[in-house]
Amino acid sequence: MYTVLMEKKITLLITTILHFLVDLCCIYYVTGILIPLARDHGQYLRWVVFYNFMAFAFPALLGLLADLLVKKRQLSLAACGCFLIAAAFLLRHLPSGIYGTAAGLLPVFLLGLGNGMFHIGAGIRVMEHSLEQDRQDRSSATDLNAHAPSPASRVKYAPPGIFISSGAVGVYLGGLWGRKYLPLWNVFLVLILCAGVVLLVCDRLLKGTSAHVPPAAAEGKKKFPPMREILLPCLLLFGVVVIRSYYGSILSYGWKTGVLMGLVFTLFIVGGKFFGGIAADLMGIQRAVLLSLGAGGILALFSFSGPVPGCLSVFLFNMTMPLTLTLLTLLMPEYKGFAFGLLMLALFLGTLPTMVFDIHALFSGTGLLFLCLVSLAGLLLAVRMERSRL
Amino acid sequence: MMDHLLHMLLLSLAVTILVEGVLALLVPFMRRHLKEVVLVNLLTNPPYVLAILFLRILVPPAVLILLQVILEILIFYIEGSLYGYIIKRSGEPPAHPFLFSLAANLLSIAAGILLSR
Repeated sequence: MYTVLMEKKITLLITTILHFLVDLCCIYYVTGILIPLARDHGQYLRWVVFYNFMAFAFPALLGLLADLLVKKRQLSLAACGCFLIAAAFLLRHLPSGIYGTAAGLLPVFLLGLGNGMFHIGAGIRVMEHSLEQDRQDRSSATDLNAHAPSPASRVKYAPPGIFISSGAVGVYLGGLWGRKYLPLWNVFLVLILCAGVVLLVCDRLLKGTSAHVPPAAAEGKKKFPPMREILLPCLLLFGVVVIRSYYGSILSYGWKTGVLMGLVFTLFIVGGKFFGGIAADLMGIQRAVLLSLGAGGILALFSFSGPVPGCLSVFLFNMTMPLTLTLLTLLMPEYKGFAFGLLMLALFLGTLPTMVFDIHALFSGTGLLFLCLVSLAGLLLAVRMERSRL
Repeated sequence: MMDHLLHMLLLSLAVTILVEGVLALLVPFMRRHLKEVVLVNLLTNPPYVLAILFLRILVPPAVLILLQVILEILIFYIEGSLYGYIIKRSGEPPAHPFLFSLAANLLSIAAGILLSR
């Protein structure tokens, strides 16, 4: 048991660090390599949309395939993702004329697909650790806040939050260094190759799970839960993530200037994701949602006045990320990859209004409060619906 | 303008929750689900109000009325579905979630019209 626990923690630590590295490399590529290669802004925008589609929309299908085909080798899938990203870095040296043709999409394709494969592979492993519980344990809990600390086999919201949080730092630094065109591509190529090797080794050495595996799943016969049972809560959770993604994409406060302020803001986003799951494990998911979106919404009203309310509101708002992910996975526990991919798709859809149409409506204190309140309602209803399935 | 928007959103939400909450207390199969009634209205009312406010700027009045009716039907269906799911899962005897949703929304509309005068 001790060994299993240590292996789980090591796996979480490694995947969290590599999540930072993968997002760092990918965003650096998009900002620091694609921009000089694009012949105009229109082509660059098409590349970015295509990359985002491969990295965020395609993983829904990828996750489903991983659930059906990959079985136990999720970290190997993540390793393949790293190798595809490395291949994209190698293809940077293609003749610049090719980038005006369809073949020029190949590096973007590999980059996005590799990113998606890493997230799905590592995400499934993290969610397996998070959900390693016997559902019979949960069915005896009648209190809707029954995810307070309890012995042994309870669902844990913390691991996905910890895993997800590191990506935001990678995105920020990758964008910062990419826009400065720092010549780091060879460094990143070596690092991402090493990341792939580390993941392959981990997949061989760290099983990390004594997972309660239902007999049907162990035999490879995975059952998808009845649609009528899960459709409404899934739609609610999907909608909440779309809103959260849109919320994140419209935040361009006037006080957020300079590298230092940008880094501080990013760290508050990271902190929210990191502590969101921990808060839910400590106080129960409903209280965590009320704190996150209730208090976060009120602070959002004042977020334009300065960095203190602004950073605090974004910290609180991001606490819901691990909660939505874990809840959706609870609805389809044998399809963790598909659940993870669905929420990545929601993230993609939420950025479309600003990325494609440049719609920043609702970027105001009232607008942000409204987004928080609607998310609060959707998330609490989804929690109640999920509990009532037991 | 944003203060006016906030005022409109909060007022509409408060009136809707009050009206539908009182109705829920009077209806046996909804009495236990007051929290859910509040949450469902928190989910649907602000987007509805915002949509109407935006549409008022974008479309002529005749089209606005038609779109408002369509939105109301959509809201009725969404709320009825949510109530139906919640009631069914709680194992209660047969109820009429869509009937409740219809009555609640009609009362809210009436309250809104009265207040606007």
